[in-house]
Amino acid sequence: MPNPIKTPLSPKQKDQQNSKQIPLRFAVAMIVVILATSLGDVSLKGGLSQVPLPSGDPLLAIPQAVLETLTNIWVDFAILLLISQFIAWAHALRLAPYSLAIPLRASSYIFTALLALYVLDEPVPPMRWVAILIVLVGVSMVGVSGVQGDN
Amino acid sequence: MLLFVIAMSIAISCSILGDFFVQQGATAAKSSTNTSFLGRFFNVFRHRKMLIAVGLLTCHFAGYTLAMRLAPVTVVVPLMSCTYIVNIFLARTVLHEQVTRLRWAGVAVIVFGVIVLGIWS
Repeated sequence: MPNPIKTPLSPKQKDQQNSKQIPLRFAVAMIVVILATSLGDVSLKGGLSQVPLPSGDPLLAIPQAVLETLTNIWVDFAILLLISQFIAWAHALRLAPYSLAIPLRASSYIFTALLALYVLDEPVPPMRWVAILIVLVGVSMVGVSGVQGDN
Repeated sequence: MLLFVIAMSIAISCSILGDFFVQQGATAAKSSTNTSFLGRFFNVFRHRKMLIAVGLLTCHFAGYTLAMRLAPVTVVVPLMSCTYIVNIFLARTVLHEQVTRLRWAGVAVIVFGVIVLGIWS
């Protein structure tokens, strides 16, 4: 019959358990960073394109343009997403080497391109897709170097 | 065109320094003894380096927003990836991280992709 009383973990066992959870926590933080970055960028672009460029007297036009920008729902949504991205990013940088986390963030380009195509109706020429795929190959190489555990 | 170059320069330089200070601030906060989630969350923002990071990333956001007004999102966003080279150099020289050949090669491929994108755009 199994013993129902759990023995408390020693500090060494706790460290081992935490170190096993680090890759998972890092992966979750990076997914939040990538999705929030892509959605935030597209929301920002969509919101800003709704706000007219300032014209006339700069003393009146610029504050009005700032007010219109900050009261735009898509810009506000983008700011919220970018704050979430910042928190997840700070968390990711605590868990993994700087030289691994920074290039992995480039995977947001593919999601940004897809959202730009389908949400903003921006044309994405074939050569731009090729360039984005090259960037993704580079990101994958950096990811593999992280899996190999060189640090 | 000149305005776009200025906006991108601000966005790129503030992004590089901002990310570096986020890493420094987050690492400093990691050594905190506070165990609750909220405690750790607010503790992050008590560090001076994190506040500098927030200031720099705000400047980055301003430059980035202006650049977004002046060019398509699929041009502005990948152009920002030239920050990766500088960041890897910072990781190698300032943070003394081990950067393998595969990781350098990955960064080189990313940069090549950005150049292809820049020429085509």
